[in-house]
Order: sequence, then structure tokens, then C-alpha cells
Amino acid sequence: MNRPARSLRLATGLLVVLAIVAAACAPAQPSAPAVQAPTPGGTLIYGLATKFDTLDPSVTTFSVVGKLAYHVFDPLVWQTSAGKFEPGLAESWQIAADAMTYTFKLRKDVKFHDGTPLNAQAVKFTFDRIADPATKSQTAISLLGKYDGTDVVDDSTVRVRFKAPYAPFLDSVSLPYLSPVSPDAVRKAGKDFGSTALVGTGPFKFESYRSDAEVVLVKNDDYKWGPAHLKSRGAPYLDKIVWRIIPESTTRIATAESGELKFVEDVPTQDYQRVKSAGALGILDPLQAGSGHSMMMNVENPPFDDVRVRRALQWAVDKNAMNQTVWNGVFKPSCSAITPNVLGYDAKMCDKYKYDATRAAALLDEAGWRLNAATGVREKGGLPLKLGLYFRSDSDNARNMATFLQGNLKPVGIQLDLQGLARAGYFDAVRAGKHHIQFWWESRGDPDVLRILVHSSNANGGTNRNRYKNAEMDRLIDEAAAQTDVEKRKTLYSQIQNKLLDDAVMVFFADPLSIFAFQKTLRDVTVDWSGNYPFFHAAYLQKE
Amino acid sequence: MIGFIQRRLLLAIPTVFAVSAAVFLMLHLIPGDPASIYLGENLATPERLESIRHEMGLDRPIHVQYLDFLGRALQGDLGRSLQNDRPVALELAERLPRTAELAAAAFVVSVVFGVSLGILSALRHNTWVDTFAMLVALVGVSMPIFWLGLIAILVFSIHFAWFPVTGQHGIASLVLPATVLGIVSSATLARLVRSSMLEVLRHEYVTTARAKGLRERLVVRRHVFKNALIPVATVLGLEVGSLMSGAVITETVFARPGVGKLIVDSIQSKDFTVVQGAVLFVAVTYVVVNLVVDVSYAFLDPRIRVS
Repeated sequence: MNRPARSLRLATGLLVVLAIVAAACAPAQPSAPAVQAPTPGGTLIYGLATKFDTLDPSVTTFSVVGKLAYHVFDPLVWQTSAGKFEPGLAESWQIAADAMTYTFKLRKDVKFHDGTPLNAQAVKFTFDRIADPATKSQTAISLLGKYDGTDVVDDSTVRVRFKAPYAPFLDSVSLPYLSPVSPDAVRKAGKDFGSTALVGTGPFKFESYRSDAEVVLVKNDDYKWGPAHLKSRGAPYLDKIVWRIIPESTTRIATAESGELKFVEDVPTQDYQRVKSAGALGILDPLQAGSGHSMMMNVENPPFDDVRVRRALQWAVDKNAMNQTVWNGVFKPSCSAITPNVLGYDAKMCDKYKYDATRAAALLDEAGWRLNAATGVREKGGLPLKLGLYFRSDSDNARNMATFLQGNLKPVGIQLDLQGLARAGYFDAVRAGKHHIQFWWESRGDPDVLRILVHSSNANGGTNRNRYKNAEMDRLIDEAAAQTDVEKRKTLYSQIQNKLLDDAVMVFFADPLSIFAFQKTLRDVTVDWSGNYPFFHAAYLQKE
Repeated sequence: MIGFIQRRLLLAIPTVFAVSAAVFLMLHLIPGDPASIYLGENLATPERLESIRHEMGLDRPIHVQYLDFLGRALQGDLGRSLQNDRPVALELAERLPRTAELAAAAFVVSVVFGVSLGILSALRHNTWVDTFAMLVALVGVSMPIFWLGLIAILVFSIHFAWFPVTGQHGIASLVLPATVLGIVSSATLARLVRSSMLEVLRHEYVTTARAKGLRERLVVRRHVFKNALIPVATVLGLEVGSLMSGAVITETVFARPGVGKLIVDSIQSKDFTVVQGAVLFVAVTYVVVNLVVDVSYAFLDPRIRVS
């Protein structure tokens, strides 16, 4: 009668042994397949880290939608490196000297997936729809700037007008969020556009979407307006791309390692070295353009109204140790408000502050914050130097950054009060300005990203949670946004970065990498210059 | 019997209303503004927040919002999600098949595993078999399902490549999640079956049955097991309900989005309409399952039928 129990015990024992064996054995390394001519056909399953809010690029808040949208839609222009543009759906364009009007000449041979032609009316329809408050557009409307309207000059020429000079617009239209959508399809689908219908001009056509689960795209055989820099030579090789949503990172990596998925995004830094050295999977790890991981300091909340205290924090944070602890040494310690691959990045910013706890202590002493040897915390007028750090408790990254900083700042005599809150409570608290410190990170590749961080128009409950309001900074940001001369623009952004660090508004920790892993049978995948968007326009699956 | 079922169905209506009203109130009491969550970290300007609040209808008084929801729900319209503007009914319908599939498979695993373990240890009470079986049950209760799921993926998907890691298609993709979920929930069941069996074994009619010279197998099957099943049936009913809405972690590990995950996600994003619709669905499920349980008592125990 003890047989069932014995087999149970055996099974349990076996499970443990198997787990140990599986964990100990690195997967066998396949020999690198020889390069063959591209073979058409096959399905690519892509493992996404986040779900979609909607698939409609004109409406979405999520950058993940852009990855998919680049395959269903085409942008008016392509950006091949920071500030360098190539024709897309627009063959050519003209920018008025005052950067208030942009004229685009469209290709005449482009058709939407529903058979309707791409023309000036479709472009006007797309922009007007984004600007209409009823559309509830999020990312796209923020890229439209101070949009005034679009004129149809002729069937294949549009003129876009702005109420204020807007030099970043070419960057905006190179992003998938402003890609033309089919007016017919939008009218037919109504609110369901982006859910059960999605019609663009891109290399893949929308087939189906189950929310939280997957989106299926099939190839567009009529596609012949693909960009040369992506090696697109007509219809894509792949028959299908399935975008499967797998938020749990361990599971996502497991799908790539087991061969179930061909391509996964957002490989955690703790798996990066292991996956890379195992060699079974290919890795793409571009630097992500934008503004790296950083902290905003609420200048309205004492003691951060004193620039000396904010400067002390610039010297006090050990960015190298932070990168090792929080990001396993994979990311790059930041020098400036924008990453090195963004237009106007100034490498001289690296010399401004270095990790120096002694200097930090001296600045705090100077500001009147004296160390209380009994408590180990600095004091001024009987009050301890206690700073409220607000972060989202559902983010591992935020929690790790917060814990590191708490330990890092303690020897300097700063006590961090960690306030990890759920999403809703967090937004309420930081928008009301209750925090001393909160974290930030941006993946927008145009230097106008600085407006989000420090322009006073975003200061009251908006994205500038430094609550930093400075007329000179506003002037510089507005002037840079109006400047069409690239060299002049770069100089202005250099001034802005300089001022931002002089005023010690934010501390920049690390510039992240976008880490993708893929099966080596998948060939010719490229990632855009900003490190945000992988392209499958010319990708193919090698026969195994 | 029919009168009994009708009465229970009528009682279910206020239950469902009470649940939906309570959830609605609770959601409004938790801090957090759905509009600001919708806009996310980077895009919220005060003006845009205001206009989104208006678009979402959040600037109306709470009771108006609730009555509006009820009115539409009665006509079969669960509204559209605040966060993604998709119809709530569609959001539910897309997830229901996968949830039901997983719940059914896990239920079978749980019953087979839990009931056999329970019977075995009750019949071998106070022997090492019993101790070992209960140890297994204890480990099952205390083991984080998250961990068990990942170990299962590591061993059976990556190392042996027997089953897919994720996948929402086909039986093969169901094996690992159903087994993991089933085993973990079978632990409670095993303990319950054991104690219920032990209690029945002490009854005099069992002694009588044995004294009559009935074979042990028949004693166990006819007299012990059937009587021990009544409390088990109640727990099984609750189990079905919780499998339909509470398999969130399993759904996350194996990337099989279901109703449970939908509820948790929408609570976090304060997507009132989705939470309302999903909770309504879960409440109805519980009511129906409980009804089935109550009816099953009558079959298990004739005394209940008479009264």
C-alpha cells in the first residue's frame, strides 16, 4: 500500500533533481548557420513586455504601439540618425525659414491596405483627427506641437501650419504616431479603429487582436514603397508577425531560450550577461535615445529651494556603483539630460560633476546642514535632513533605485524617506508636489524632450515635477524649438544642458540600453538609430 | 425542487446588486484619478487632465455614474473601457474561453490529486503514508505558485522541450499551467477530504456496516466517501469560483491573459467600467456555482432533499 507514496516521493525527488540539472546545464550551442539567400515565408512571434492601450497610433499613450505601428503604417519621412532624414511617404519636403509651415510632396503610388489611395486629404484627415479633442490623442498630439491646420495644396501636396515656430516637427513625422491612417477605414470602424480594425500603408496588414494576448499581422503583397535604409525591396519576406504579450520577464526570456519565440524585447539586465555568454541567442543592445534614468528634485519643497543642497546631491550620488547595483553594470552612467545619441548632446557635461562625497558634505555644511554625530543625520534649526522619495512600488526598477539611493546618501548625512506607492496614489502625490524626489525617464529622441523636463509650462502638476520655473530656461527651450539651423540648434541645446546642471535641477543616473534577444535563424533585423524600434521590413527566417 | 431553484435565483439578484455597488464605492474610495493614470507619466498637462476627465464622464456625481452603469447593464450594455475604449463585453468575451479552459483543466487535476491524496491519508491514518501525504499537502499549500510555475517552465519547457512556455492555443499549452494551478489548489482539498473522511469513519453506522460483514471497499465507497463529500462539495464550489477569477499569478507566469488578470489590471488603472463589468460577471458565476452546489447536496444526501 505504500506504492503511491513511494511514487510521489520519487516524483518530488525527480522534480528537484531535474530543476538542479536544468539550471546547471547551459543549453547546447548550435553551430552558427551559414548565411543563405533570404527565403520568403514563415511566422515570426515577437515577445512584447507590455500590453497595448489601443493599436491606433494617432491615439495611443504607449510607446509599444509605435513598434507595431511602424509595420502597419509608414511615416512621412524616415530618420536614419539624429537629425538626418530620408524620404518616406513624402518624396520631398520644404520647411519655411520661420519653421511655421512645412510642405510635403507625397508619393503618388501608395495605397492603403483597404485599396484607397494615400493622398493629401488622408494626411490632412490624420492630423486634424489627432488635433480633435474628441479623439483623446495622447502621444501623437504631443508631437503635433502648436498645430494650426493642414492645407491640401493639390492631391499630392500638403502644407502643415503651426501657431508658433516648431523645428522638431520633422522628427515628429518620422515617428509612427503621426503616420497617415486610412480615412475610409476610420470612418467605417469609428471607435473600433485600433481595436478590430487598423488600416495603414505599411509592409504588414492587420489581421486580428485579442487584448492582453496577441496581435497578428500578415504581409502586404502590394508593398513597394519601403525605405532603402532598411533594405526593403518590396513586400516583406515574413508571411506573418505575431506580437505576443508576455509581461513576466522570466517567462519571456524562457520563450526565446526554448525556441518558441524568435524575438523578445526588454531582456532584464540581470539576464543580459548570461544570455550573451551562452551564445545561443543573438543580442541587439543599442543605446536608447532620450533622457536616461534620473531623479527630479522639487525646488519648491525645502531644502531643495537652496541650490547648494541640490548641487550637493549631484556630487553625492555614486553613478558607477548605482549602475553596478541596479543595472548589473549594463547601462551607461549619465552625464547629461539627454543621451549621447540625441542631437545636441554635449560631452563636456561629463566634467561638471563627479562622485565626491567630501564635496557634497562641504556644500551641505555651507548651506547650514550640520551633521549630528549621534543620529548620523544632518540638521538645521533642529530639523533633520529628511527627504521624501516617492516612487511606484509596482516597478522593480524604481524600488531598486530607491533602495540604492537610501544607502548611498546615508553616509553623507541625508535620510531618505522611501514612499513606495501604487500607481494611482503615486500620480496623485507627485502631481500635487508632495515629493522631494521622484524618478524620471524618457525615450523621445528629439532634444525638445528637455521641454518635458524643465519648461515652466509643464511645471504645475504636469511633467516638470521639479516645479522649476526659470524664464531664461524657457526662452532657451523655445528658441531652440524654433531654430531650423542645425548647428545653431545644437549650440542652444548645449546651453540648456549646461544651465540645467548649473541649476542642479535633476540628477542623471544612467542611460539605458534597449536589449533584444533573438533566435539566430532570424536574419536582417535592424533597430532604428534611437534604439527604440526594431524593424522587420527585410527580416527573414533561415531554414533550419 | 423547482421552487427551491427559483427562490435561490431571486435571492441572487440583490446579491449581484450589492456586490456591484460595494465594488463601485470601494473603487471611488481608493485614492487615484483614472484620467491621470490614462495619461500616464509623461503627457499630463492640467488642461489635458481636465478634458480627459470630462470625456470619461468622471466629472459627474458618483451616484449618477453608478446609475448610468446600472441602467446600461440592465440592457446588456457593459459600456466601454475608460483606458482603451474597447467594449467591456468584448474584453470579457476574449478572455473567457481561456479562463474557462484553464479553470476546468485545473479543477480536474485538483480533484483527482486532492481527493486521492485525502482518501489515502485518511484510510492510512496515523501511518507514515498519512504523514507523508499531509507533508506533501503542506508543501503544496505553502509553495508560491509563481515559483512552481517558473520551475515547471525551466524543467519541462526549456530542458525537455515537452510543452510550450506560453501559448494560448491547443492542449499542449494547457498542460503546465493547469497542472501547476491544480496541484497547488489540490493541497487544501486533500486536507479537507482527509479530515472529513476521518470524521465520518468515526460514526456508528460505519462500525455497523463493518459489523454486517460488508467488504471494506464497499464501506468506504458507499458509507464513508459519499457522506464525507458534503463539506467537500461546498469547497469545490468556491474553488470553481476562485479559479474563474483568481488564477492571476498562473495567468501571468504562463502569459495566458484571463478574467482574473483583467480585474487586477483594471483595478490598478481604476478602469471603473471594466471592473464593474468583470465583477458583475464573477458575481453571477459565484451565484450559479453555489446554486449547483446546493442542488448537488440534495443528490448527495437524501435528508436535505426531504427537508
